[in-house]
Amino acid sequence: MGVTPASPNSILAPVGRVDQELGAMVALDPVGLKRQCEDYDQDLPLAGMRVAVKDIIEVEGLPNQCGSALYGDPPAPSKTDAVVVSRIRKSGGLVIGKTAAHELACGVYTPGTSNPWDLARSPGGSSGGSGAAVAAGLCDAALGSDTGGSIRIPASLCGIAGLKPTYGLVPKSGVEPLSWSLDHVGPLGKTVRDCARLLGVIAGFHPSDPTSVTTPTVDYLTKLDSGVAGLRIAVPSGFFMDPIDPQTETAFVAAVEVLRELGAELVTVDVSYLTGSLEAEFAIIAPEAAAYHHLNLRKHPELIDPQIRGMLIAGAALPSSYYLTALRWRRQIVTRMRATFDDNRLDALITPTVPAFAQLHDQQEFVYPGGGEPVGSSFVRTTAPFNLTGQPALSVPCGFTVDGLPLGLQIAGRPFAEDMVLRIGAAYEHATDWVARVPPLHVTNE
Amino acid sequence: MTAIWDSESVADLLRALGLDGADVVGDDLIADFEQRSLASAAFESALAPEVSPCNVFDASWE
Repeated sequence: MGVTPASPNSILAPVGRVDQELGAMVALDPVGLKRQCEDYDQDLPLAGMRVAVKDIIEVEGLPNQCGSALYGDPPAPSKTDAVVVSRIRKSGGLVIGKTAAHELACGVYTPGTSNPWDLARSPGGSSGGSGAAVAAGLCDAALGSDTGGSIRIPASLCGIAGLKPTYGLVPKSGVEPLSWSLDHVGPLGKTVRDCARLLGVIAGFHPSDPTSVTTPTVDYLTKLDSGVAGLRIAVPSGFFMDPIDPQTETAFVAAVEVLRELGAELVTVDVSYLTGSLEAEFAIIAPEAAAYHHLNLRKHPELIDPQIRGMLIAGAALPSSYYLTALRWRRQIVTRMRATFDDNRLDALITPTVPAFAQLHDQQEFVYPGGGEPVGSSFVRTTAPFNLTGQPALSVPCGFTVDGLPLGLQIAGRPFAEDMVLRIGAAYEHATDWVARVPPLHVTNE
Repeated sequence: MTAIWDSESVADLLRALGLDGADVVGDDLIADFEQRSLASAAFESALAPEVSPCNVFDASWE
């Protein structure tokens, strides 16, 4: 044991100052932080890492609001830590507080939170508070959840790294569900290494979560700097690029060239079988979420956002055959994705994380060459395929628009090959300088 | 394509399920029901009969 180089007040004071404008944090945890600082051990794997936690994940002593009025105003404080939070504390991570989430983790805006690159814009969602907090330097890393892109979307929009791990790798006990079969918990960090460090601590079987797998975890840092020479990486034709914002497309094409110059072998693959992913995702989320929230829907529908309420009603009322048909479509997607990887001997597949960039707070649609697309559908179209397949998918910054808004590169790998996607992400990150940029609103050492 | 849902059929269904207090049956809700029904029909017509639902808790590709 030792003494932390920082006191709770020195950690939390600048967070409070910046967050007045940002709105990323919904609660700070001076009590828990004081205890952790007193137990500081510099030899632990996350020693001194400041971690914020999405407000759908239980933190002892803090309310778990889930961005919703359903849970009380304010909700009673959680009595225990979620498994992932407990693991972070035991590994020396300093849990600073909780970050804003889009209501019920079901949306891509996170109202009340701004994007530190442009306060008139959203940080994305549903882990928007986590994305904004990391980007603005309120913390070194954060926990998010991802049911259709909710880690990778804010990572892309906020110019940081974010990883959706393989389904079942990270236990979800103590995490409010949205859709049992699509929910994932994972890290967001300023760098790929931050994500790898955090993943190394939170991954691994836990008996309290029946979806948690016994697959052994690996040291995600060991191969992080091994480069991409000789790796086979797929670039899909169509689907992810249709439609797409021209600036995003340009950045993606440039990222492909960077990986080629680093020695990766780029392969074009056809993923047209992903058509219908968005509809399948929505057909699975709706009944699973409706089953979980059925009492809330009957007793307190007025406390649920109308759009989310409509989804829950559809999930509760439409025939169960729709759900099962979507699961059959999902199997077809999984089978074909596996064939894409096997037939082409792939190590990874890369795409733009999302087809555009941070939307204005009240913006409902993106206008692409060829037509418009609702903001939520546009984002989830490119991220949800990997929720359906369960594969790991990482977003890393890959450029900026002419207005200075971040863009993201998505790297998807084989199941449980997190070390590979992190390795590719780290190689790309080191070869570019995107990660060095700092948003206009950020914590300084003043 | 003939519409599957209208305000009366949606309202009847919600009433039967005890969900009639959950929301007003408006155009958005009907459009959502319609869209979901069409998507399911499109999946059904494109899927081979032997394709079974996936095991949602196993992402191993094993």
